[in-house]
Amino acid sequence: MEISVWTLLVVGLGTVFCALLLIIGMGNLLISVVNRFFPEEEPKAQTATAVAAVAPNIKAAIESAVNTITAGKGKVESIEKI
Amino acid sequence: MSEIFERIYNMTAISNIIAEPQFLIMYALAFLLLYLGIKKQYEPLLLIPIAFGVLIANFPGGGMGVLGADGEGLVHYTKDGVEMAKNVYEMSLPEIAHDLGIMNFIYYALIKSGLLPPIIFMGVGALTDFGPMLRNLKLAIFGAGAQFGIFAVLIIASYCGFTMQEAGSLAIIGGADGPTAIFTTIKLAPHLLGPIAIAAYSYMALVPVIIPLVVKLTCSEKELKINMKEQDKLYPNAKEFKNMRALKIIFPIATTTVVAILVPTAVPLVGMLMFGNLIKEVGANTSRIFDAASNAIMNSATIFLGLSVGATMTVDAFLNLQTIGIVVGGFFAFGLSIFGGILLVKLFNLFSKKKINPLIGATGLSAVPMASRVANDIALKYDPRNHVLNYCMSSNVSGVIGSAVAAGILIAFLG
Repeated sequence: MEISVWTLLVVGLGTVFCALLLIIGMGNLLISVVNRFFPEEEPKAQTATAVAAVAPNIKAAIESAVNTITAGKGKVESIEKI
Repeated sequence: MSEIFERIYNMTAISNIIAEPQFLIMYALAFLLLYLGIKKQYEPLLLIPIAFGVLIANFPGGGMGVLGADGEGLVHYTKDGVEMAKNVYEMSLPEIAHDLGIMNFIYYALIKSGLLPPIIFMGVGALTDFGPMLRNLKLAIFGAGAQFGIFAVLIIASYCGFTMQEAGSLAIIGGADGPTAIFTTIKLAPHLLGPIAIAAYSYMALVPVIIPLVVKLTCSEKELKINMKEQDKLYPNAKEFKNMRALKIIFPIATTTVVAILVPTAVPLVGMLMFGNLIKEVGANTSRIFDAASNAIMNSATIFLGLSVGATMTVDAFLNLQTIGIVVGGFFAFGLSIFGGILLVKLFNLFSKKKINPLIGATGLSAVPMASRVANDIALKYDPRNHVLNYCMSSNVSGVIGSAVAAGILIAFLG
C-alpha cells in the first residue's frame, strides 16, 4: 500500500514525539532508580588527611596519572599503602 | 612532431575541458567550497575533503569521479576505448577498483554499503555529553518539534515532481545532520547523494546565519529575553542527581533499547551513537577504544566520507535542475525545522507558567554544539546575563536522536 505524504507527516512527527517522550519518561525513571539504589557514596572525612599524609610529589604523580587515564574525570580520594 | 604534440594535447585534460566547458563550473564550485572551509572556517573538517573530492573528480581522464549506477544497477564506462555497461552490484571490489578506479572502490565499499555514516555517528556519540540533556530532560522534547521541517519539505518536494524516495532524501536535510542525511540518501535515492550531502553540510556550516535569520523573523524581543535561570528559581526543578556517572552509563543503553523497539530502522545510527557515548562514559576501562572511536576511526571515516561524497559531484550528476531543487528545498527544510522548534516552545509557553526561551526550540536541530553556541550568543545580545547554552544543549542533543528516528521512519516507509 502506497502511503501518502500527509499520512507520513502525521506518522513521522508522531513517532519522533513518541520516541522522545519515551526517552524523557525513561530518563526520569532512571534518575529515580539511580538515586534510590545507586547513590554515590559521600567522601569520608578521613580522606583529606589520608591524602595529605602522602608525600606531595608522589601525590602529584598519582593525581596526574589518574587525570590522564580517566580524561580528567577521575578524582583521587584516598591513597593507602596496601 | 605534430603527432606527438597532438597526443600530448589529448593526454592532458585541456582538450576535454575545452570540449565541455561546464567542468569550469565544477572547479569554481570546488574553489568556493575550499575558500569557505579554509578561509571562513565553515565546517573545515568536512567541507575541505568534500571540496577536494569535487575538484579531483572533475578532471577528465583522472578516473576519480564516482560513477552512479542507474535504476538497474548498471554503470556505464569506457575501458580501452570500448563502451561498457556492468551491474556494479555484481562486480567484485577488486574489479571495481581496476575498472572504475580507487574512488569508486572507496565509494562502493564504504559509502554505498552504508558503513561510514554509522561509524561517524559512533565518533559523534563519543564526543557528546548527555549531561545537559539529563539535567533538563523536559526540554528534550523540543528536539522533536525541530523535525517539522523534514516532513513539511517531504510534502512540498513530492508535489514539485520529486519521487517519494527523492523527496525523503531531500527533506532529511532539515535534520541538520550530515551522516543522517547521507545514510538516508544512500538507502532512498543514492543518485542524489552528492548534492544532498553538499547542501546538508553547507547549511550546517551556515547555522550562524540561518538561526539568527529565522529567530529574527519569528521571535519578539520579550520572548528572547526570557531568562532561564530566573525561571528555574521561580519554578525549581525537583530533580536531584545522586550519581550522575551511573546515570550517564545506563542512559545510552536504555535509549538504544527504547529506540530499537520503536523504530528498528534507526538502530544503525542511534545504536552506534549510543555505543560511542557508552564507551566514553564507562571511563578508564574503555579509554583505549573511546580514544580510537573519537579520534583515529572518526577522523579516517571523515576523510573517506568527505572525499568520496565530493567525488559523486561530477558534471553530469550536479549540473541539472534537480540540484537547484535540492539546494532550495534543503534551505526550506532547514529553516522550517528551526521554525518548528520555536513554534513548539511558543505553544508550550501558552499553557505553562514556567516560560521557555524560544531559542531552546531553535536549537532542536542536530548541529551540535554550533546551534547552541549561536543561540547563546543571540540570548546574550538581548540580556548579557542570560546564558542559555546548557538549556539549548538539551534540545540540541535530543535533536540528534530525533533526526535519526525521523530518518529511520523515512527509510522504513519509503525504502
